[in-house]
Amino acid sequence: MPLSPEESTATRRGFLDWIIYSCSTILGGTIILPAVAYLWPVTKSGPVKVREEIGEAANWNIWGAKKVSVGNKPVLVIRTDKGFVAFSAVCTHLGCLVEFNPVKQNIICPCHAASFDIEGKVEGGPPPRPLAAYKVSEVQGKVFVST
Amino acid sequence: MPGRKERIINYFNHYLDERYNMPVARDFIDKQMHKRLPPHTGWPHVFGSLSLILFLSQIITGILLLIYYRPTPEEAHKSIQYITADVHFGWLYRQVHAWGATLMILAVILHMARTFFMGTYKKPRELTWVIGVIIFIVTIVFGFTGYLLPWNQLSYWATTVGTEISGAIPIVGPWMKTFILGSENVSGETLSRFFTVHVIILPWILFFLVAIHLVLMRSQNLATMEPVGEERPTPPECGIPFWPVHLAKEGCVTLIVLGILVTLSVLSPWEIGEPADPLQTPEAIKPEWYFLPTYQLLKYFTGPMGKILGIGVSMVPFVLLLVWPYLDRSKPRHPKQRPISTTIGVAALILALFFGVLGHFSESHLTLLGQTYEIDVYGVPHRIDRETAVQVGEETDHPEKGMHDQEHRTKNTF
Repeated sequence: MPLSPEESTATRRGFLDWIIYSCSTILGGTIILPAVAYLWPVTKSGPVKVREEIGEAANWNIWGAKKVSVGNKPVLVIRTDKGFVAFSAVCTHLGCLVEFNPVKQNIICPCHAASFDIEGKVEGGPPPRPLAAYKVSEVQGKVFVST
Repeated sequence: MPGRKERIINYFNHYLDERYNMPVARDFIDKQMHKRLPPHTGWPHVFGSLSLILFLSQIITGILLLIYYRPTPEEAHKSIQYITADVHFGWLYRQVHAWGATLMILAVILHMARTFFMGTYKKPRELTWVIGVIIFIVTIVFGFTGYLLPWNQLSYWATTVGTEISGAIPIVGPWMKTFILGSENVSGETLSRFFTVHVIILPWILFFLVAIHLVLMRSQNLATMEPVGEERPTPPECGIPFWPVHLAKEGCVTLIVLGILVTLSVLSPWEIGEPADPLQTPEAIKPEWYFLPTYQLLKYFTGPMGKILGIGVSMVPFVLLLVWPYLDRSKPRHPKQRPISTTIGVAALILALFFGVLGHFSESHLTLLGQTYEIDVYGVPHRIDRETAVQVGEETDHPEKGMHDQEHRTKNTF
């Protein structure tokens, strides 16, 4: 049942206040939202698959390693006695780049004492995950890495 | 007949009096200058104004550096080299700015320690303390954003590690990391963002925070050592006059610290370092001294949850500092009358120092009383035999190796 004018708490001033607050919010939003969107970084969406040649297999010693950039990602490629392996060179702890240690045949991070085995699994130190592995293929003596 | 100088002053006073309500302004300045401070006010109370002086020094030297600095990956490192090698006194302003940042953080820490141990943060000054802690955090962010600007190896990888820490926060972490970096990893976008934050946003934030901090401090007066609720206004006859007594102390300390600042700049200059290489993380890089405890602590947390746990534990001191006035509601202010707070404060300082020292010496060789020790990543020393020690000495004494290790300080002799 509708309220009579005496019972209603709505006032003309209250209604005008509501209009002013609503318009201010919309105006503020139209100013602030584009500014926030402007600050958001422009990044590519979706996975980007890249396959790149990184050198000749013949020029590569067993237990030799190379750090290369494939599709703008740092990749560590190692030639083991069983073939080539490739991992993301970004340590899963805090983003430093890992190095291959040919003496201990493991992968170490210079920042917070992490070590990974030759399969990229965490051997010691603080990393929460193994290194991401990438596919390596050898075609007509040339080595390709796919990220 | 008034002299020429007096006539000029009179003219300006008359000019201002005709236009503004100058008696009110003069009365305000007079009251502030001749304010009586509590009798216990002494040398430990100068660290607040010292922080302010160092902030002003950072602004002046920062503006001077801005004239020649170029915030792009291609030019940033070269412009720092140019400032250091070619610009007149460029080396001095760069060094004073770099050392000033370190001394400013030290001054803020000492000021906070004084406030903590004298119980000044208690009612009614809780907000002054909270704003002070925010000033401390902003000062550290200042250091962090400024560190990237030379675009050298150390700054590039320190920023990588620092921003990865924000990326580890559950749910919002990856979003925050991308927003801070401006891309997926440290790049030119990051340099632009850090530059804008360092030279425009943070200085204004700090300016307003410091202004509010000072207004609150002046309006509530300095705390006495009486318990909460029993403070009495300092009678004029036993208080210490701000001008000239306390201001003279602050002037003395400022001059001494400016002397130290220039001495450090001349005798212990900061390296320009190698230009940033996104494909090579340098060996055993270490952060600035104020991040060393966090750096060392992160090494002990291993396993799938270790990363987030380590970061969580590192954040605890900052959260505790922010809410401390609301946790400690006891009335006494004197450190001897509140043993729990004092013990926690001393323990926190000792722990920070302990982990900082471990972080500094970890992954290095230390020669102590003729015996050489290899310090492992966790900071545990292992004695090594004389033959290996000689080899280590030869390696680190090699000129090229020595140059390479200047940033890492791998050999420590006592």
